[in-house]
Amino acid sequence: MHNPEATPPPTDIDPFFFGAAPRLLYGCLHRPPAGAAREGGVVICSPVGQEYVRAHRALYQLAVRLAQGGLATLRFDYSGCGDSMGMFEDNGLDQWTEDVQAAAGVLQFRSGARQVWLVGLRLGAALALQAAAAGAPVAGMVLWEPVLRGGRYLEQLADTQRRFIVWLGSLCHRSVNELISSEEVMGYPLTPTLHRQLAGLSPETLGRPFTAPMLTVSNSNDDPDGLESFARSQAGGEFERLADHKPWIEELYKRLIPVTTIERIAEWILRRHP
Amino acid sequence: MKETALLLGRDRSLVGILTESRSPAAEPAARPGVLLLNAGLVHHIGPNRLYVHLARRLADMGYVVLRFDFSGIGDSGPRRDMLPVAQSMVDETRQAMDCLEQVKGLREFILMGICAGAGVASQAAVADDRVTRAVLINPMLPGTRRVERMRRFHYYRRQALFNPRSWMRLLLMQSSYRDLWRMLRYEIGRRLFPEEALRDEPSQVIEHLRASFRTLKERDTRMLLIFAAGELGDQYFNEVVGPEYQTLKDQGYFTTTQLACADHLVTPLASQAQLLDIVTRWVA
Repeated sequence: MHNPEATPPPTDIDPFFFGAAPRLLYGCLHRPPAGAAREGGVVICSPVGQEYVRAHRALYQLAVRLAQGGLATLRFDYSGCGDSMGMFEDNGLDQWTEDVQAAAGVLQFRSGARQVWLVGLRLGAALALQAAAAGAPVAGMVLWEPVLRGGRYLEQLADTQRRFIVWLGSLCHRSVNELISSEEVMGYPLTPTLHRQLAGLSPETLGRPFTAPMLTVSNSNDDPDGLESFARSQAGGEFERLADHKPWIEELYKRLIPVTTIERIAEWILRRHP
Repeated sequence: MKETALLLGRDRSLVGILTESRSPAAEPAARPGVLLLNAGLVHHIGPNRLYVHLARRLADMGYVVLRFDFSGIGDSGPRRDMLPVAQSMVDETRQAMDCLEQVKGLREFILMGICAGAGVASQAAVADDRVTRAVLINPMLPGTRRVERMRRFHYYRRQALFNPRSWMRLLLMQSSYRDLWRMLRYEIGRRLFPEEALRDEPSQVIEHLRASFRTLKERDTRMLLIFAAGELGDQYFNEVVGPEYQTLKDQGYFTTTQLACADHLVTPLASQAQLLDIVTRWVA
């Protein structure tokens, strides 16, 4: 059991670009302390858009925790996102799924990890499932508050955008009709292609059933997307509901770290590694 | 344009991305280096990826640009000493300038930041004479009573006054009348007796601001201040710094401009495009 009071051993962080130009991706590899490396490694698949920005430090803390436990952990940015090359509007779910596969390969190459585990948060969880279904050699997976129903996700985005536009309109005395656009959401372009891909996301389209160990974690009190039934329908699936902060929706100035969830995810993965 | 990820700082614990032209100028040190400073807790890509777009546009213009994370933010590790965060950010900005000086031979710098990043940019410009220009976007104001009252009056004047629900609350006695009266009284006093009203702002805040602006003028440091809708920085500086602020603008040391319809983090795509155009034109 990890003792949070113990002084953690230092871990290395190695930022770098990988892939082939012009599709270079940015990644940060968290290396375990010397002599503590285990056989596996973890790729963290982040959310997209504002959820990505808000959850960024929480995923950094998760990566540090996993590396402290002996697992080389790679955080990376999808094409057109974060520091990676390209424009957001030129990319979508298909490219981002390929990026997950590329990240898994790079993790193995740079760290020597023999097994790759994926941890996906929100849309990143859907991308992790798609990457596994596409043949990425994934030994296990954690889905953290996964987006399984793209239609509902789009509704939530549209609702957030509309509330923002109403507030902005009151600030600069412009009408909602003047400001609202179906092609952007909270600072990011929402192209018709991406909209169509998201609308098509469902448990049925997210690929073949996953037989390796899988943990689905939810920080919500309710379950409108059927996360629990999806989790339990998987051969190696487990489900846990944890009362904790939701870093992907917290206000930017707050940065509340979901310590309980991070510790549980790390403990679950580490227990399955020799 | 090419980008390199690097570790910088005395402890090599700060993570940054260096962006530069693929065909560097014959004398790269002829242009100042550009540093993009964290907007609060948002990591080095900036709000809505603005710093990424800005860095790449400036690199295409021939500038060397570094966006990086202060300790404890983004990809950077935590700081190991007890230096207060306001001081550590200025210190780390200077370390980043040292890095570019060593690696690229740059000796002059332009600092840019949004919100708290703008505050750090102005403080670092005062602390380090290598800074020749700074771009302050929606600079964060001190947490004083004056600023709080300005915000409240601005909210009532720009938003609540036009909101039917606010009027309903007023008529149904659901508003705080004492609060409203205090705010109105303060606002009237501020307009009729500005010097008197300035007494409610801590003197050290006023003196620090005035001294900083004097230093920047003496060094011929040029500043571009960009304000979105609802930002109170221009009004605040006008009131607290006094006529000296307008003089700095008249003499070209400070340039101020407004973003048409943007929030604090410049979220609408049209505002982002406008911001990038304003900054790249001013720098060129």
